[in-house]
Amino acid sequence: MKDMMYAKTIRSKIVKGTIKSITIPPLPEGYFTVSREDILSKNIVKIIFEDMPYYSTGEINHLNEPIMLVVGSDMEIIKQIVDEIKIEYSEENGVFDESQKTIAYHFKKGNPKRAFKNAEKVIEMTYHTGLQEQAYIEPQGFIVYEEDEKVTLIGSIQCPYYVKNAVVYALGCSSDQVRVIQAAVGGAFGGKEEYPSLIACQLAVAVKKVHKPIKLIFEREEDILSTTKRHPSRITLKAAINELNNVTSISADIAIDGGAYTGLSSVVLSRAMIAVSGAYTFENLEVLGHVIKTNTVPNGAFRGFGAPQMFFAIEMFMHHIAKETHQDSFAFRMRHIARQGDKTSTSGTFRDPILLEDLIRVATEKSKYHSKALAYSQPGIYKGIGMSIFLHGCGFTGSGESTHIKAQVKLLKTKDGLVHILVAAVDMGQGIKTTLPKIVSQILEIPIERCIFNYPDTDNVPDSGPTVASRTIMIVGGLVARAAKELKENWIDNLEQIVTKRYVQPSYIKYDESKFKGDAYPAYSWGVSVVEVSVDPITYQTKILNVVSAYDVGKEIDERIIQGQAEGGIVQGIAYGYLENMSANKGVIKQKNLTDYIIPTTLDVSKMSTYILDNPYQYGPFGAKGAGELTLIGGAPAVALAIQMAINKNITKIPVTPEYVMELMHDDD
Amino acid sequence: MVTHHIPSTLEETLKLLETNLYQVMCGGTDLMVQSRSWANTVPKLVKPLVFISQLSELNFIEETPDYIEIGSVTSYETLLNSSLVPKVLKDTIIEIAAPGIRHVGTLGGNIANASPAADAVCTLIALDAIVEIMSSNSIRTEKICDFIIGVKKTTLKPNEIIRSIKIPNVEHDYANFYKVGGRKADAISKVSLCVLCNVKDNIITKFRIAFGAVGPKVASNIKTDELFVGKTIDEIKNNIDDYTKKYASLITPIDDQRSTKEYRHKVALNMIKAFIETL
Ligand SMILES: Cc1cc2nc3c(=O)[nH]c(=O)nc-3n(C[C@H](O)[C@H](O)[C@H](O)COP(=O)(O)OP(=O)(O)OC[C@H]3O[C@@H](n4cnc5c(N)ncnc54)[C@H](O)[C@@H]3O)c2cc1C
Repeated sequence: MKDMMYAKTIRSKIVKGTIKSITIPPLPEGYFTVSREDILSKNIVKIIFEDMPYYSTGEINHLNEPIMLVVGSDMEIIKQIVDEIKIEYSEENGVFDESQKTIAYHFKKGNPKRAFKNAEKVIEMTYHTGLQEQAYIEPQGFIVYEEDEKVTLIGSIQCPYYVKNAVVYALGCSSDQVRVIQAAVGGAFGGKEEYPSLIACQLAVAVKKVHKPIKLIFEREEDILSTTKRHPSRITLKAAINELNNVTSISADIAIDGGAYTGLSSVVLSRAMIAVSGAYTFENLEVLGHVIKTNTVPNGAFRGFGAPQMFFAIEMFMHHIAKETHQDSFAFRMRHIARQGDKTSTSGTFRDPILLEDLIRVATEKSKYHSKALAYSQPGIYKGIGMSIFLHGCGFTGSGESTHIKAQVKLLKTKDGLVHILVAAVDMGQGIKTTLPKIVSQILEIPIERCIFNYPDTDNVPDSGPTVASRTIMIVGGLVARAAKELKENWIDNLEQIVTKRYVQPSYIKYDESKFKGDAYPAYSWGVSVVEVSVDPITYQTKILNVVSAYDVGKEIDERIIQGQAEGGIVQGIAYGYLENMSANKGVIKQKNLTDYIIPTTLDVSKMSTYILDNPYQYGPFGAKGAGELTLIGGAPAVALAIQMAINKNITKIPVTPEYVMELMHDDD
Repeated sequence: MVTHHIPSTLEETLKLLETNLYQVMCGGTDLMVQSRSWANTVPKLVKPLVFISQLSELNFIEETPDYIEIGSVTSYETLLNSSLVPKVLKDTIIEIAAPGIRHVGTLGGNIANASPAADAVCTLIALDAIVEIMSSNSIRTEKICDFIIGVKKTTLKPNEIIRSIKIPNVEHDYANFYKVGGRKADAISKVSLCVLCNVKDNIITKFRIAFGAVGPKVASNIKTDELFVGKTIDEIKNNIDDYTKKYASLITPIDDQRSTKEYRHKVALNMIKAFIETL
């Protein structure tokens, strides 16, 4: 782009405190600093919980908090200016424990009090999960430019309208003055859900000051040190056990670390809390959840969105209960699995058929789970096999789809018979560039080449919602399918035609967000993962030997794309369980680049087999439900259970690193 | 204006280095990472560079009765494909990085960079390799374990270059390299170990161990190694814990972003023990 300027972010060097002074050297002509003084309207990133400024207010709450941008045309000169800017702080002690709570939720199902009173036995355990970095393909970045008054942003993003709405809010301008275009985006895993809005607001303010195009691309290290990650959690579970050795009630106390700003944490917490039952049914529940505020980098969206933490805890716990009550863990879990007609954790109903028994049968047979579990229970073999059973609620939690998102899609048929799919959903490698045209082409019975899906541009596409929450195929694809059906019925050759569809909540879905009561999701996808490992007693390293998964995602729109989601998801989930290790010491993240933050390579995974069982959902296109997040969720509990079997010790936290395995294996030395 | 040089001869290279103004760069796989800067801007180099990977005089593998001599700019990939390179060094190299890095990375760089986690250095120290160092008017040799003096520190002077690495041409009954990294490829060692051992009539005639990533430099101690020499395998196996523990004081790791000192210590000792059990 002509006259391109570059921007570099100045970040705080302390974890908590206030800025005492900022000294900026005299700037050469054409060089600018942009900070809160330049803000035209609000200094808040519009996310669900509005507490995060995009330029520091002067109060520092985490290390590497953005303070200002240095903007100019020569990157070398920018670098010099950045080095010469001096900031003095008055430092305070940060908080890193659970003492600062920002959000508190609570819900109940049935009568947990009575269940605990009548319990034969009560079992309690506490589980911890760590940070996980999305390690998306490319770091965060945008190009912004101004045409007349209008601000256009091209970025690596998952949610064009989130960015647009945030910028409109930050500039205090009208909606037609902001345009957001998706650049080619690689696997983003949630990391490009809310965070890009922050950079977009900074840049929108900057472009209003310098009136030239600006490019801001993070360095990988800068990205890891300053952007959102998966919330660490502490989950305490208590079970009431009756005389039949069944669980009559679970009481859960959950704390997720939101970091310095709350952002999306409340929604992550809801999903974690709702997942408290795992893929089981418990008659009675008491669930308490908190978002805690610490002086670390804010945490945010990441594939699974609170569910992976909870599924790790509940799966380990179910296994633990079986052990403590001297029963076969498999039989015990089978007695508790959710069945059609059961009440969900939020007292809604599992209306659709549940294929768990079939999924479990397929996964256990193909992995030889039973015979291996028996063989590996002998000491000295150092092998283990673990099975996780899980579900994922598709789409936004609760009535989010109908109250917050209100998705709209549009099909535009041109005179020459090309059908443009106009939605705000982005393809980031998950394949909707294939699947959405495939849906339209099948319904319209036209060649797929005539169904056009381009990267969304908010000037051309309606707001079909963010590309998150495993909602794109089921919700957006469902609307696209409905629009295509209508277009087919009214198709007139050589005429431009437009069909628009809006999301309508299935009438049976009723949910009370404040009480956590009713159907939290319109539909659920289900899965079973079996992971087999060996643990080296010399180095305490885990080797993945085999992975078998079976899923119900309604109906595959494209077999290979589901295969891709399944394999990528389980690898990311297993790695969350044993390999990917990120920790912060008093707000300082220790693994700051991809040398030290280890993600798996192909050599770290084994053969993976995936089986898909059809279970069409009436509102999904061709019966499809969500598949994007589901496949990650079972990875961590399955690998942790397998390692637990291999070393015959209780695992209570992930990642199960070799260092942790060593500690466990020598806990009685 | 900074000028970097790509000399075509060793002589020219050494002449440039006499000015003490330059740093040499070979594969650049350590140097460029250490000099990284904002993408699309000039790397943060301490000194201008003299490139050496193109010097054919330093790209060779030769066998003499006493040594296998390897030119310092010979790439890992070339070494892997050579029949002259000792197997244990190849076993080490195959654990370094990934094919792309091995295409350009070199022993010279691994040694001069003097990281305590350098894998090839670990094996070369166990092999008692000798480094040949050159300047425009001198040539000297030093045992690699003396050449490296601390974290990122060597006895190399600004006008000097590593010319070659000489590996004593001796056979070993056992020559193993073990690397423990965060994952199976492309990982920096949390702890590594090279062990060489000869046995005659059930009696140990040579024992040599070097450990990576357990202290400020690759650790080895010939005195400790010698405690094994002359002992029968049974003697050592029957007192395996005592013998293993003889290395405990040599292993002085730290906690860092990759692992803990307890883990490194324990695993290093476990690996020695596991090796002894294979005898
Ligand atoms: C992704 C990645 C993975 C890696 N994995 C590993 C690993 O698993 N194990 C491991 O040990 N290392 C690893 N490394 C580090 C690196 O690849 C090795 O240390 C390699 O041997 C360095 O060689 P080079 O030729 O690239 O050195 P360069 O980067 O060119 O030089 C390194 C240093 O040595 C000096 N130098 C180079 N050659 C000479 C010479 N002939 N005489 C005097 N000084 C010289 C340079 O001035 C510089 O100070 C990895 C690096 C990367 C980027």
